[in-house]
Amino acid sequence: MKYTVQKRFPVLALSVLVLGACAVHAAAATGKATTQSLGAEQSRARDALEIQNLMSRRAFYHSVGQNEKELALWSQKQTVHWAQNQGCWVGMASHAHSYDELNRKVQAADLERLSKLNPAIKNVPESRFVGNTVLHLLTTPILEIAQDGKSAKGMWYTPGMILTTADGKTPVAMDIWERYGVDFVREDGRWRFLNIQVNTDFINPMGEPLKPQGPDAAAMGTEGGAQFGPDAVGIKFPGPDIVKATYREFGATRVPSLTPRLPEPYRTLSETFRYADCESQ
Amino acid sequence: MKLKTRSLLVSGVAALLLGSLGSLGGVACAQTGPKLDQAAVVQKLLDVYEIQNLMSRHAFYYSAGQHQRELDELFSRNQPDLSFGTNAGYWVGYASIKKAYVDWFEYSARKDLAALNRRHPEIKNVPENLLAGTSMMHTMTTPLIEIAGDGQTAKGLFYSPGQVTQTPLGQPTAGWMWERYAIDFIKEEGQWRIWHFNVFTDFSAEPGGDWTKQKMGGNIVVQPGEVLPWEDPNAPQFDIAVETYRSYGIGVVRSEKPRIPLPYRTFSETFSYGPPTKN
Repeated sequence: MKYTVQKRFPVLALSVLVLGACAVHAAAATGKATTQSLGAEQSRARDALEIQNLMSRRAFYHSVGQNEKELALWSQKQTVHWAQNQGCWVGMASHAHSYDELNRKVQAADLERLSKLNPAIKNVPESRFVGNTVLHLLTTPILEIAQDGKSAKGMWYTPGMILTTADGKTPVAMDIWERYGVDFVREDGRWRFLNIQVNTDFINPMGEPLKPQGPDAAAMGTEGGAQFGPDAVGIKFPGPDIVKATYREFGATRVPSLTPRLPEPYRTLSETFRYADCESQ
Repeated sequence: MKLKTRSLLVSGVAALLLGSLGSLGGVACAQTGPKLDQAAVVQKLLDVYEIQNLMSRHAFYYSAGQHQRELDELFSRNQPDLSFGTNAGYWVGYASIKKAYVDWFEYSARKDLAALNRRHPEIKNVPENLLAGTSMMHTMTTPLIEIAGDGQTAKGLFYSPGQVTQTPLGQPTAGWMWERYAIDFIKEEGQWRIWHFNVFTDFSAEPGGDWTKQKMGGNIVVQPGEVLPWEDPNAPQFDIAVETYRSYGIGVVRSEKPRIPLPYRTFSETFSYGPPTKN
């Protein structure tokens, strides 16, 4: 008896040892998998919030005419694209030339003109963008974060208003409804714009019946940097680098379409379509 | 010696057993304690984000006239009391909603195109021109989304300032239309779906119009034999005709309608945005 117990005891002890080790290992593995998937989901939720904040930040900079601050939110490492109804601008240099450099020249020229028309307006830096406010609200969001967490696509309706003045005395208001299709990339831990497509449905004087929309409706929208109102003398806004209709403003013969294309779930940026794409057929 | 060895072995095994149980317990505790709470929070955030996506898809599909696609991809497939409510009543069940929201919409769109072609012959009456001259943008703003504690249902409330431009009787008519959505959502096979859908209109007016004095479409010319789409007696009747909401009027007291969602544990413990039940 003594001999049997003595012989079996080490086997029992060894079995318990092995079983215990397996249990510990299995528990650790399960815990690690749970932690990993939880981490991924947490990142996804955080990314959605950060991307919304990025879009909103751009809207607020734009509302006060500080387009240069918007440019700082774009990708620093990849070729960016900007598109409106009439075509695409390729690369930051091209986009920044119209969107910021010429826009600031127009702002300066307008301020000088308004200060002459209304002496109450001083032609000083603090009066930059006087009599102007641009409101592009962000609504109806669809956000798809790539499975690899390195890019994202978003779409919004943007009902808006342009509040301005032609003479520094009389307010002028326009209703403008548009839609955004945006690609985002994550660089050095921060979300940035890669491609923005803004398509204009209509722009209309506030309080008046809807007027027929012409091809200059989108150009009039300040998204493109061109100010509504009299053109500043000597400042010419170049057209898009690639002329291609990405959208058609509202008209009696226009059939509505899902434009921009709705984001779809995807794994990685190379496997999905691009916004502000004037090159593909 | 043998006694000492056995004692050591027993002690060692006991220690190992206790350690294993402790590890298991520790992991189990980690899974049911702070980690599970964190998982629940993250799941809730993802649910809100997915529901927002769902409602936005509704808006974009609607703008393109893809009502059938909405039913197929966004609405519940399993709930017998699937419902679509407006100011004046409810359609209940898939067949009824399809008849009103898809079939009648397409029938009206064909009628409008025919009328548009009569007034503007350059716009051909062909299928490719269905919804020509139409622009409908119902935005989703001011979201208030409550996910049930059990994660199986949710309630959402949204303001929807919109513009609706259509061609009733072939006459392009633009309008502002401000509405609000009150929705019950249900999770089916891991996906959020619309269960009880309500869209309530606060006001409509043509651009430049005063919505305290006029409604959209007030300037449409109706020829003999014609009828405005929203006055067509052949339009599908509600399954339950009941005034659920009143548009703006000087005699209207708004009050809390629709009801504002509050946090809740499970659907049986909250109110429903669905049709009234017979009692």
